[in-house]
Amino acid sequence: MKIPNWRLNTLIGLNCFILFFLLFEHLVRVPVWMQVIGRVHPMLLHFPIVLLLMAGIFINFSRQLEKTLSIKPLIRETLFVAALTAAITVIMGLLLAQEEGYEGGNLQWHKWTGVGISFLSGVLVCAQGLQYTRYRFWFAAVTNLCLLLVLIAGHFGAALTHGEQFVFEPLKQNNTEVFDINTAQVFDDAVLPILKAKCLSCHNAGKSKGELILADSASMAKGGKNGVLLQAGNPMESLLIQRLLLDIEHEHHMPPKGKPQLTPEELTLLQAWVAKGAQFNLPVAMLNADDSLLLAIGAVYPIHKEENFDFPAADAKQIEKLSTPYRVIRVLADGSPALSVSFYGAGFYTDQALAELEPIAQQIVSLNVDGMPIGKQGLETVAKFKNLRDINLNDTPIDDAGLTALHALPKLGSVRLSGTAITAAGIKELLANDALRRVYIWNTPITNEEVSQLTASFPTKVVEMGFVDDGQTTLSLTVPQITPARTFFRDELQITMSHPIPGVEIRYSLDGKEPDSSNSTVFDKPISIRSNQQLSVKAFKEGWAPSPTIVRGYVRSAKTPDRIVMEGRPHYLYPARREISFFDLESGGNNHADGKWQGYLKSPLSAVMHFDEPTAIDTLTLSVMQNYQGITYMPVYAPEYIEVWGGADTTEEKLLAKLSPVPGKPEQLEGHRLIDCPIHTTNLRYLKLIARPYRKIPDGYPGAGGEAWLFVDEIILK
Amino acid sequence: MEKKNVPSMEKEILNAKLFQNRRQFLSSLSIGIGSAALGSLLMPGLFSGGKSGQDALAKAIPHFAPKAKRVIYLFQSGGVSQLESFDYKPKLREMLGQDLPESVRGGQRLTGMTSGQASFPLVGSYFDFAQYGESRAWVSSLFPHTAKIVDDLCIVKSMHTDAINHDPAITFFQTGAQQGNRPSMGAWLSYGLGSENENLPAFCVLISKGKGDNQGIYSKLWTNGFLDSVHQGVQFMGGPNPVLYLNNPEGTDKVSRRNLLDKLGKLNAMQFEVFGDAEITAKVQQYEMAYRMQTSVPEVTDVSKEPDHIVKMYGSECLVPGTYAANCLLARKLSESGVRFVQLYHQGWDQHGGLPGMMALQAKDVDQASAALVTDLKQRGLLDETLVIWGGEFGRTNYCQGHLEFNNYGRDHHPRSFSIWMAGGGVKPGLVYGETDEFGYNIVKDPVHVHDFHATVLHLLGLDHERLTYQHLGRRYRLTDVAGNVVKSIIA
Repeated sequence: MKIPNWRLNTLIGLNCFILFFLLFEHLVRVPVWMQVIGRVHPMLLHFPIVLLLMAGIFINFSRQLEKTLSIKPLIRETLFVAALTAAITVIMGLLLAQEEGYEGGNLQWHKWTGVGISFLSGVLVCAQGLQYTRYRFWFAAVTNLCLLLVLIAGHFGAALTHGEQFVFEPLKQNNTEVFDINTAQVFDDAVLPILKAKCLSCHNAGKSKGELILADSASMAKGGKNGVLLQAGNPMESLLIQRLLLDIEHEHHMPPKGKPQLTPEELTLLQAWVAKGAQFNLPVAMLNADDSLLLAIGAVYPIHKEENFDFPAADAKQIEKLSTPYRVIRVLADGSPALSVSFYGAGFYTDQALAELEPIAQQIVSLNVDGMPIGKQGLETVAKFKNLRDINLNDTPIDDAGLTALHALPKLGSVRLSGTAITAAGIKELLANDALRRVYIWNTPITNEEVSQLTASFPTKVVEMGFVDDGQTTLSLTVPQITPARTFFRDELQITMSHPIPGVEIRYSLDGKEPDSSNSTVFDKPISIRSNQQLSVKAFKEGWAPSPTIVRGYVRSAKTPDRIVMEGRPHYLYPARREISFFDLESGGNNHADGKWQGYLKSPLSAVMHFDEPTAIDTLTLSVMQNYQGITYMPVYAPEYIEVWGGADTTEEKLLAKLSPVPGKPEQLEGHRLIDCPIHTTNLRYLKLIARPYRKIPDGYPGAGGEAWLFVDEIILK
Repeated sequence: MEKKNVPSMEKEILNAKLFQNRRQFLSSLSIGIGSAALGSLLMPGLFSGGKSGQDALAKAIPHFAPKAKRVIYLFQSGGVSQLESFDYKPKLREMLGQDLPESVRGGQRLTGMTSGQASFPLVGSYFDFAQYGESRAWVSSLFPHTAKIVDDLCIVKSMHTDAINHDPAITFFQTGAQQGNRPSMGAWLSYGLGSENENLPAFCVLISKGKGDNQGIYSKLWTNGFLDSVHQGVQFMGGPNPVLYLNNPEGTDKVSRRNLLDKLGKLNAMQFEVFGDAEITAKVQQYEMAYRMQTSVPEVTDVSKEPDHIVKMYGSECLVPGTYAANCLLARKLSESGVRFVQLYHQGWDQHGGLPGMMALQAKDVDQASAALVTDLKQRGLLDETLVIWGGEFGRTNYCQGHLEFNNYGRDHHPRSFSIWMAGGGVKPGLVYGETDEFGYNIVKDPVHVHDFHATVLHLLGLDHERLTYQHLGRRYRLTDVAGNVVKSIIA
């Protein structure tokens, strides 16, 4: 059947337009509204693909299909619509290609195969009558050629939109795509790929907008027409970063609106790279694990952190057999063949115990012999652990000679040598191993200068020096410990003093004078205290500031009542040991809640003491705390007043003493205060003490008007 | 004959209507099964029932490769004020004395200590802030040593919790529930990962008293809950006897102790055969461990071999047993010796009043030693595998409790936002995560709930918080209850 003219004409017209477009492509300026048409290309292109496929089936299998279908009109109609949509799709594609960002080999291939499809399918429509003649073979051949072109065009089209290798990417994942942290360069492998993907389409050698090329380090260093691109170490002053950070609506924002934008992670990476000095030959491996640049790289690229081990798992029974409380073997994770081995208990370690691990030598990736007396033989065993990734040799007797055993380990990445006798020479040899990334050498004979030399010769490796005492800070010594801690005693008190830092000299005086480093008595044997005395102690050591002086007033508390009855109750938070506290000789420390201080708020302390025998008492002394800074928002004062009542028995009580201690001046307040109440009474069998905390703190003192605590730790009778 | 044919014809018609007979049905069914089988190839764990996870748990093997092997948790009990430590809010200083807008508080419940207050006057930090390190993190002048190591820290400013009082809040942080008797975090880790060093408990507890108001710390916080009692925390004391009841009684030597344990072990084994109570085996294990601890504990608590300048790092207090600094040093030694979870508590952060003075003393207690611990782990190459956590159970309010002066004020409990920091163990260093509003009251970005915190810590240790379960009272329990999301953004 003859093809209607209008059909032919339409096809010829469209294909001619295509031809024209191709010839004058470089002159074409696409108006904005037509860009919209161009962008329909990725949708429409599916029609010619499917229709051509259908036509292909009909043509190739026409004989079989003829039996059930009227094949001729089918072929005719499908072919025509296929050719028509092909031509329209090509035109749209050409329009789309005019937009910026579509360049390169993929586009060329896609364009020309697409044009080929349009032309060939047009030819097929015109020549469709031929398929029933002796040219039938050729007709089918051209159809199949057309289908082949569809395949090619489709492939390159997909490469344009989804990126190259889109289809086969999943198969390749394990090989080339992984960012190898050990060999990668920051610029070449992390920075440049971003620029290539997002900037290169406009800033390449062929098309350098703004006279800027971002294809390689040299041209980047040069910059563009607006000046230098990078200010090393200063991202905010760098033109590159400034442009990238501009608001997307800003006319200078890069990449221009409508182009693929940088992701926030990529932006962070570029900023971190510039901040780090915008270096073009910095290996990734040189970055610390916590370096912000490395973290930024990690956010963009799939850095494989979890290693896949290529050796078989060890026999579980074997592991169980070798495990002891002092040789702990653990599987790294569920399903992993890798093992980590730790030795504990220096007294139980022998090199033999290490040698016994040989059956699982292949699986050990981490070994911890921290503090073990590892010897030559032990290190020889270690040399057999070929898959060892890290070893902890902190505080072991290893030396430079022993270190050579580690050279045999091809995968060893981290070696901890803190507190060992190794020297810079040994470390230098060790660092020559490729795999080695980190060594820890704190507290070794290696000096600061040597570390700087090492880092200079191995810029990609980390030599962790740790805390260095610069000799600038002189710490003051802590105060010596005095045992017993209490300051009250019955008849005699043996006092010993000690200091946790070795070599400290403890000096003291008993005359109230401040101990000095030359004249005061050095403590060497226990001091015996028999009467009320004041002990001042201070610690001294070369290279340290002396400790603060501690002053302890020792108070003899010879008499105790036979029974005490509490009439009031202490505050529920600070009951101490109730009545026992008053005569337990235990003195409270700085901490009001140490269980030795008895606290009173609002209600008074009221205690009754009974004596089985008539007793003469000269003075009653109350030991109290003073702290105006406050506890639970209320300051601690000496009592507002103290009353002491007493007599031969309860019926004959009379007021023996009443006094109101003057509160201590805030600026020279002592934490501890002894308040004497003169009684001068004989023949006492009954004594009652009342001490009331302030209900209203007097004016001129901290917390004036408020309530005050009263804290008591001891009552002393004389 | 015809009669017989009738039903058979009807059957034919039915078959024709259904377009199917039995054979056809079966043959098409087989194709269906075939495709189902094909589909199952894409789901590897479909028919294995996920049994491997349970097995791993029984053997205490991590679910996946861990980033951290051990944890040191520096718990600042009482509730550190975020506003005087890491959450810099200059606006509060400007607004000194002005009332907290009701809209900011949003009707939040307050503790009984301030709910009766007539007004909620805002108060800013008495202490100045500055930015430090590459991360430019804000740190107050109270923490000069911590400020020096901010590039090793991940500061989370957007923690929030459910509880408003000390006991439920600490219990929540430690056990994932406010009511208590659930296993503590350290117990869960001991259960999930086992002990690294079988000569020491997997879970050790160290307590120090601060100079502030000391809220209680009690053993329910390090309980094993319903887990086997071998997972319970063991408290180490300062002084000559770090672990109570460990030494042999007077007159008993090592040999007779061994004999005693062997005989006792046999008796216990007999008892176990009769009753089958798992607690009996747990007890035997504990006796054995205690026996081994007789040598391992003195080894680990001996600080005399530490170099002189370690004191310069931790501060001279670190040699005074029982202080926070000494506990930090001991924590490092325990962790170094393979203790899974070292739990420190430093009491005294509860500054309801007199905050500037008291908090300065508290900060002085902990600042240098906390920073030194991180540095010390780092220089020994242990920071990569040890997670250090520093923080309290909640934060403190931006308004003043009680008397207000710019240099003397108090703050009440605040659960809605507070700051903690973490270091090492697979956490991103030099990161400040989360933000609060300009009043420092509500979180505006990246909130981290206590459950999320637990999930994240477990994740860092190679455990899936949803798979770390224990069957008890007829249901499975988790540390994170039925909540918690791993905060991926803070993981390196």
